[in-house]
Amino acid sequence: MSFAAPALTRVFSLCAALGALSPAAPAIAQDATLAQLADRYRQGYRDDALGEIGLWTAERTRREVEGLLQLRPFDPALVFAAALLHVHRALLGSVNTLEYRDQHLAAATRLLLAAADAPVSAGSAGLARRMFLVVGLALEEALDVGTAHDVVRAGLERFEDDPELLTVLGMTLETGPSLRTYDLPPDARRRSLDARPEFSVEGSGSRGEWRRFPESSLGEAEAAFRRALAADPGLSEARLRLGRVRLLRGRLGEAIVDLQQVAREDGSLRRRYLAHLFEARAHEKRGDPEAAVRAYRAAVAVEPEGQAAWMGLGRALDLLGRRDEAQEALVAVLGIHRERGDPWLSYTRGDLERIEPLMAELQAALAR
Amino acid sequence: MSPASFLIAAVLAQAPPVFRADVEAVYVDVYVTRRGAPVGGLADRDFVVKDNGVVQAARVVEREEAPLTAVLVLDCSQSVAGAKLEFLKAAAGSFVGGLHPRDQAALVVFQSRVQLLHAATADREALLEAIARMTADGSTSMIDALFVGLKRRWGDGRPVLVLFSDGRDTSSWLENEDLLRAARESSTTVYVVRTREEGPGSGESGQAYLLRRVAEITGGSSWSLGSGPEIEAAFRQVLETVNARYVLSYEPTGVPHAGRHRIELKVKRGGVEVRARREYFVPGSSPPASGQRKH
Repeated sequence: MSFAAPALTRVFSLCAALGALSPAAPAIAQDATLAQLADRYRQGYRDDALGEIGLWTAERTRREVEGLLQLRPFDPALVFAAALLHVHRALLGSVNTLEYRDQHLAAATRLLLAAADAPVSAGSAGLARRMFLVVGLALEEALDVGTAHDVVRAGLERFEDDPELLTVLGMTLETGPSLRTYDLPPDARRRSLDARPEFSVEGSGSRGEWRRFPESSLGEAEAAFRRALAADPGLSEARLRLGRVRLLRGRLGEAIVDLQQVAREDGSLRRRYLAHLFEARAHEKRGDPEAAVRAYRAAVAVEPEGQAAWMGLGRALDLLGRRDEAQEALVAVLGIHRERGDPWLSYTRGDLERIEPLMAELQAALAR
Repeated sequence: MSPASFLIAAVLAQAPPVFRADVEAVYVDVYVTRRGAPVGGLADRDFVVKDNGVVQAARVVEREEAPLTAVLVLDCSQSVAGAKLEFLKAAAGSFVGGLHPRDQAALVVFQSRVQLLHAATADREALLEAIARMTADGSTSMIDALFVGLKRRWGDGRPVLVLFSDGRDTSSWLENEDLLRAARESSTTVYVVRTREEGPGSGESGQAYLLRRVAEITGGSSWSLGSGPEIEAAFRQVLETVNARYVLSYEPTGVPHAGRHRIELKVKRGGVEVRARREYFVPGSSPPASGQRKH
């Protein structure tokens, strides 16, 4: 059994598809403003809106964002639509180039925070919550973990004990200390929400930036995941990550219980694969390579192109002295042709599967 | 020794340099320098080899008797894109072009995943075509790539691995300890060519230290470069070093077969520096890996 498409690609192909489904658009105004483009986005003319803002410089983006926020009467739904448009653009930007992604995420963050406390309309209480969620997830996807953390915390000030926001908060705390350097530009600096009262998208250099969370943040991550699961015991993403955090903290028995539950009960192939993979690592740490081999074999049964699982399987078999079988696993490692076929590669980028339906929900909720 | 014995050796185990056929031989790759320059003309009588403290009768194997199987493990992550990739291609091509006719090479590249671009072959044209196909993108799964390079059986020659990387690992599944263990168990000599990371602090990064340790453990060398144009020169140095090395062969006597073997090696010449693997391991009594005991 294999994924229909890699998780990362799926998100972007969906975003592209949403754009492609745009109805035939009336002509776009020359030098259309962000307000006009956000309105077109709400009407479903997404190609045009995404195309136009994709051409903007950082300075133009900044000017347009501030211009929209000055409009009176203040229209929070329009501001949210503009934020979603920028998130959409950032996700599309991830496919081919990282160059412009940061400015769009910074714009989305600014717009979200400006509109978060304004009433949108009756019956749309969940809109702001989901906006925090989508911006947080998009920032995590961009590995701007520090800003993602701040955004989600801001969301939790308004939506206390929301299980999904707690899960994203936990993600930022989980990935912060463990994230390895992502070939950063040397002068990369974390953009802090506190440090930029004046919104700026210039020279943010946020690709791969993150706050250096202390190791103790793993304890906070565990607490966040546990709170999320207390509010929603069926939230598998939280359980998967709780299992991994416990693995990282050396609580191997508890980790194995969590991970086996996800592997047994969850419908997501991505999560089942990762659960088997992390379970295998927990068995290795316990000094039980036979159990690790079984878990790795379960992982490659779920995702035959999971290079991490084949790699771990080869290593575990080698440890057991089963060298011919280890060679077979290493041959399999080199026989994988699909780039980004392994969910492990995008694990630190958060829950990409959640972004997809969330974008669609928000587009529907904001439609005009 | 016949080429067939190398073949038998490789089939039996990539890990230890112990080849079992009618005879059982250990091969030790040795680099002897004086003031940084390789020392040539050494013969059997110039070497003293001890295996677990017991002196062995070692002989120098002629270079032509000991063709190489070189595995090029090259970083093709996003950070290599552009001019650096072109320098890397030129360096790899130059290395392949400088191999002896009976030597073989394989090409492995790593980015998010580890890819085999060409299995071990003596066909230079095929290797050059594979090198020309290299593109740079994605993250850096360097530890995984090195592990596969060390553990996979590649060919029937004297195993050498040349690693190039310009950055830090970002996406490997395996951990540093896995790599160090593989290095200790492998008969492969590892040469590391890396460009220095930019950034705050002038000290050696953890990643640079890890790679240097892998090279040391396997009896190889590492080069830390300042820029892309130096890559080709470094690869030429690797080739010169490989070609200037001695291969010593001995049939272990007076020591138990299985288990870990400590090698002590001396050269009866003054003022020389000797670089060689310091231990090898024969399966059959696998020692527990650190951190692998059952709780």
